[in-house]
Amino acid sequence: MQHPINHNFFTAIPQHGAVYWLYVFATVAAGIGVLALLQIIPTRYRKATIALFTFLGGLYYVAEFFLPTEKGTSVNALTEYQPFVGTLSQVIGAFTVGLGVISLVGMHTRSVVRQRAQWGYSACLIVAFLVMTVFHLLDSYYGDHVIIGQGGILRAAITNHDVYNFLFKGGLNSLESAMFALIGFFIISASYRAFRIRSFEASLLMISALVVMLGQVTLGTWLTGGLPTDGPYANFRFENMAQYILLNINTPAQRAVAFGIALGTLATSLRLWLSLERGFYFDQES
Amino acid sequence: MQHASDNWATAIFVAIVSLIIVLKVVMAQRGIVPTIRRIAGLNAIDEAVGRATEMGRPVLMVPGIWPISIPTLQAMNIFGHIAKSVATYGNHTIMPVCDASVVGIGEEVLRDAYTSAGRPELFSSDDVRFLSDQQFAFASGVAGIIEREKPAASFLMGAFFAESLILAETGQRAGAIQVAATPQTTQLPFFIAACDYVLLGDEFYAASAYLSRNPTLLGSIVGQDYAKVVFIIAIVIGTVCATVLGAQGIDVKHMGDLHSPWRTFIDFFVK
Repeated sequence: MQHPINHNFFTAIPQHGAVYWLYVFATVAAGIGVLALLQIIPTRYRKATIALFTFLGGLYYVAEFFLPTEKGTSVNALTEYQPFVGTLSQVIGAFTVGLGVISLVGMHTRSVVRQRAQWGYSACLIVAFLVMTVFHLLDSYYGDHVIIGQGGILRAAITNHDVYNFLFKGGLNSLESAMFALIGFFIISASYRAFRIRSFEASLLMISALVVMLGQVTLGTWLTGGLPTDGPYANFRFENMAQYILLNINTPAQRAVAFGIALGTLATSLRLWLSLERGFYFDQES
Repeated sequence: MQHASDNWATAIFVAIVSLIIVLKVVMAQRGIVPTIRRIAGLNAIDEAVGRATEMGRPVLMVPGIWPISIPTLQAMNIFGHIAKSVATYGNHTIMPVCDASVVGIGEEVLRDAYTSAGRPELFSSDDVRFLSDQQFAFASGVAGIIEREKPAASFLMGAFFAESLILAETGQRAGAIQVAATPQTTQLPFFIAACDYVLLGDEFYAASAYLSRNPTLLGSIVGQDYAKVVFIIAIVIGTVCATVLGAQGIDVKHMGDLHSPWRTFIDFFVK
C-alpha cells in the first residue's frame, strides 16, 4: 500500500497562475545566483562546497534506502521528498541544455561561415534544426492553423500539425529506422570476422554459436527431430543443447561479468559520493 | 522504490562491501599501495595513439549515450588520460557527445589534458561535438565523422546500446584501432566481435586506476577484489546449502513452513 504524499513546500508546486511563474522565475534566478556564487568563491572553497552538496545529495538516497519503512507501506519518513530531490536534479540538468545547443549551432555556423570542407552538411543541419524548432512551436500553439487550403491536387488542407508530423514521422523516424536496420548488415559482417576459425577458442565459439543458432530455428529441430524427446539421446537434440549452452554456460558468464560491473559501479559511486575520486576534472592527488 | 527493509540480507551485503572498499581506499591513501595486473586493452592505448599520429589522423573518443552518470564519468576519467597521451604526440581529438550535460565535462577534460601535456594551443572547443540526444541520429552522426575524418584510433567507452555495433563496425571499416568498454553486458559481444580490445566487466572501472597508478583508485580496486571474495564465499555456502537440502528432497525456493534454526542462514545465502 502506498502512503499518501503530504503536500508541503517541498512536494507541492502550483501548476497554474502567477505563483507558478513566480516559482519558475525564482528557480532560474536561484540557479543563476548559485552558478555566479560558485564562480566568485575561491577554488579551495568551491571544491569543498561541491563536495558538501554531493555528500548531502547522496546521503538523502542512502538514508532513504536504509531507513525502515512504516508498517504495511513501502514508504518511510524521507520518501515524500523524493519528487523534490528528483526535480532539483532535473533543474540542474536543464541548465546544460543551452550548452548543447550553443555547441551544436556554434560549431556548424562557423563551419558554414568559413566554408570548411563539406560545409553543406552543416548548412543542412542548421536548416533542419530551425525548421523543426519552428514547426514544433507552431504545432504546440497553433496546431490546427491551415497553411495551405484544400483544392487543386490537395484533397485536404495542410495544417501546422501536418507539417510537423511529416517532418517528425516521415523524416526523423524514418531515418532512425533506417539506421536501426543497418545493424542487421553489421551483425553479418561482425559475425563473419568473429566466427572465422583461426584458433581453438574461435573454433569453440563457432561450434557453440552454430549449435545455438540451429537450436533456435526450425531447421535445427528438423535435423535432430528423429531423436527421442526423452531419455539420454534427447540430450543430442539441437534445441536441448542450445538451451544448455544458453542457461548453463552463457548465463553464468554474463552474471559473473555483471557482478564485477556492479561492484565497480558501487566503488565508483562511493568514491564520488565521499569525494575520494581523483583524476581529470577531480582533485589531483599530491 | 526498494528499501533495505524489503531485503535486509542484500542491504547488509551492500553495507559490508561498501565498508571494505572505503577501508581499502583509506589504507591506500595512508601508504599501503597495492599493485594490479596488466590489462591488454589499456596497454594498447599508447600504440593506438602513436599510430594515429604517424598516419596524421585524429583520435575518436565516444563517452556513450547516457547523460552524466557513473559510466559516463568513468569514461571521461579514462579519456582524460588518453587525451593527455594524444596531446603529448601533438595529435587532435574528436569527442562526439549524445547529451548536452556532457559537453561541459568533455571540454573541461580535454582542456585539462592538453594543458597538463603542455600543449593547450592544440585544444579547440570544436573537438567536443554535441550531435543529437536521439540514439540513432547520434549513431549516424558519429558514423559520418568516422567516414569523413577517418580516425586511426577509436575509443568507445561508457553506456552503449543498439548503436554499439554501428559505431564499432564503421570504425572497423575505416581501419581504426578500437578499444571499447561498457557496463552493458548485452553489448559486450558486439564490441568483442568488432573491436581490437575490449575491457570486460570491472576492468572498465579499474582502467583509471591502472592508467593513473593513483593510490586512492588502486585502493578502491583492491576493495572491490576483497568484496568479490565475500561474494564467492556466499555463493559457495549457498550452493552447498542448496545441494544438501536438495539431497534431502527440500527445494530451497519452496521451503514453505519449514522451521529450523538454519532457516535465516539459508535465506541469507540461498535466496
